[in-house]
Amino acid sequence: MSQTILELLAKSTLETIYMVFIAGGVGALFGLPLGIILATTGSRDLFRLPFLSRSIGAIVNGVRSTPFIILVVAIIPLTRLVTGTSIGTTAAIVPLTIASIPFIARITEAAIREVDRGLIEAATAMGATPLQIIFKVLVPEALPGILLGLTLAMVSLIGYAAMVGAVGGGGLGDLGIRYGYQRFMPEVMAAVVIILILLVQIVQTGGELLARRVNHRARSD
Amino acid sequence: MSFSSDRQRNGVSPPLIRLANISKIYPKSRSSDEVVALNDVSLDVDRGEIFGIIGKSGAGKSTLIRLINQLEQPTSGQVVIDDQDVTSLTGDGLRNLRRSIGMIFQHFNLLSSKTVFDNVALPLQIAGASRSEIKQVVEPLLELVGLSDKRDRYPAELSGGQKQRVGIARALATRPKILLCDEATSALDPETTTSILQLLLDINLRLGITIVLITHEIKVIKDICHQVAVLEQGRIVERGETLSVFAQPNHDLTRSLIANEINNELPEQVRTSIASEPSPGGQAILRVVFTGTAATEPVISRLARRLNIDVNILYGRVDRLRGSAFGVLLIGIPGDQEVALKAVDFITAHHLFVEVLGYVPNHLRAAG
Repeated sequence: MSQTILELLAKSTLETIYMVFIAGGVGALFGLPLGIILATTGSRDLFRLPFLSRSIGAIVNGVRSTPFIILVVAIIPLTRLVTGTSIGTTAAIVPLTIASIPFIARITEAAIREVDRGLIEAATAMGATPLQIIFKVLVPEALPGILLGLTLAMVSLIGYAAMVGAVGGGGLGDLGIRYGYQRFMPEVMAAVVIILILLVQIVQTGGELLARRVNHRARSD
Repeated sequence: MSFSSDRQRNGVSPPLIRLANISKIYPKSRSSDEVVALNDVSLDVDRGEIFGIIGKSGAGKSTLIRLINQLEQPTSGQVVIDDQDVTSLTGDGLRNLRRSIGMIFQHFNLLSSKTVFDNVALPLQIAGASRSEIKQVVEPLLELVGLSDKRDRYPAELSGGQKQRVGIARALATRPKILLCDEATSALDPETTTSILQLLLDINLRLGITIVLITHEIKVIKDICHQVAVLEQGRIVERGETLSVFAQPNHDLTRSLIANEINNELPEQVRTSIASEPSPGGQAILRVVFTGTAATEPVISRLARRLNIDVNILYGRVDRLRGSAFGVLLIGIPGDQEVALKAVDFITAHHLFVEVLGYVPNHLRAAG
């Protein structure tokens, strides 16, 4: 493999990492609170705001059921508004973030709903406010599940980030298509795939490690 | 002698907890019909008392205990704690009330993500205590429940009994005046149950905290409760000092709850051959209950002399009913129903509680 190709590989890898982490980070910033709201505003939950719960739920479902590639094109005006352009790696972060928010929200909701209701009752009996229940009980107890969910979201983002190459987003996917496929360089394609596999491995292992560290529940293994 | 309490009851001061004509109706929902969980329940709990509520599942115990810290609101009636009607409390007033009432649970409800120390500290954090205050309160509490060496462990590393000890320490962290126990020993084995009950008794004596507990195990009532209320289908069917309720149960449910305990006292051959009708030449089995040991022996020997019969002593046991002696004697009175009833009259006249459990045939005459 030539020097240029190696440099291209390195550059594309960094672009992918950049897209995934910024999109994942911003996605978590919005997705985690949304997930908490979803998990606590149902008609049997702490805050009992079923209207809010249903509205957010509907939007989340809407975004999640839109195919990613359509989402990318559909939100071009928003992308332009945020980044000033609709082409390039930074521009690609916008649709990636938009796609990850509902995903992270649902995963957070599920992790929080897993927490034993007896703990909510115990905290209520201690005189905790609903916000204290959320931040002192529900979030710490759901943390292992939330971390595993975030890991899953990151892995999915790695896949999505390869797709935005199709609309000029850069990254490993873009490299694979342009060099590996269009210029018939199978070794580039192979390298791209191997790097992607490694990235997924690293993210998955790291996430699991983190989740295990904060998980103090009895383990059966 | 009478079944007076060993504890001085103060008739002047008002009860700490008063439930007055409480009804709780869960309205009809899609999945179930209207449920009357509690039906005109009234009871008073005095300061420093251990008050037990016993009943089968679905009797309304859970709802009843949750009225006290307002996890449940009554459909009608009043919950008065320390002369304050708490049913109208909301917001901070309600949270302050809850901080003055500790609660422990059947399944402990500890946070798996926090250490023993942090679990006990949680109510204090919620109340906004500083780190140093927390340390000052939590460490002696861990000492009290015997878990000082486990302070940095996580709940998953503890046994059931140890988890409940953490639960108790946590419930005591805000120095509550009331401790609510929701089937606190039902998930524990008998041995651990005994040790947790001992701890509760100890806490009641040492800290003077009022304890209200619900249970389906008669042992819990017998071991530590001063007062007992029997709940059936949302109504209190019997209520009184544990000692007198045990000695003289009035309601069928109470009898059946105590029956197992009595049955276990009967010798094997008596238990298998006991019948409700007398058989010719057989004997009647009487259960005599006494508190304190002094009065009984002369009564039984006088009984033998007066009726000119041989009294068979089949079984005798002095139990400890939360500290005071509680004796049970099973005696066989040879003869027919008439003799048995004479014996009952005689024993009753000496202020002991007695009941005819049944009759056994002749061949058991020499038993015991």
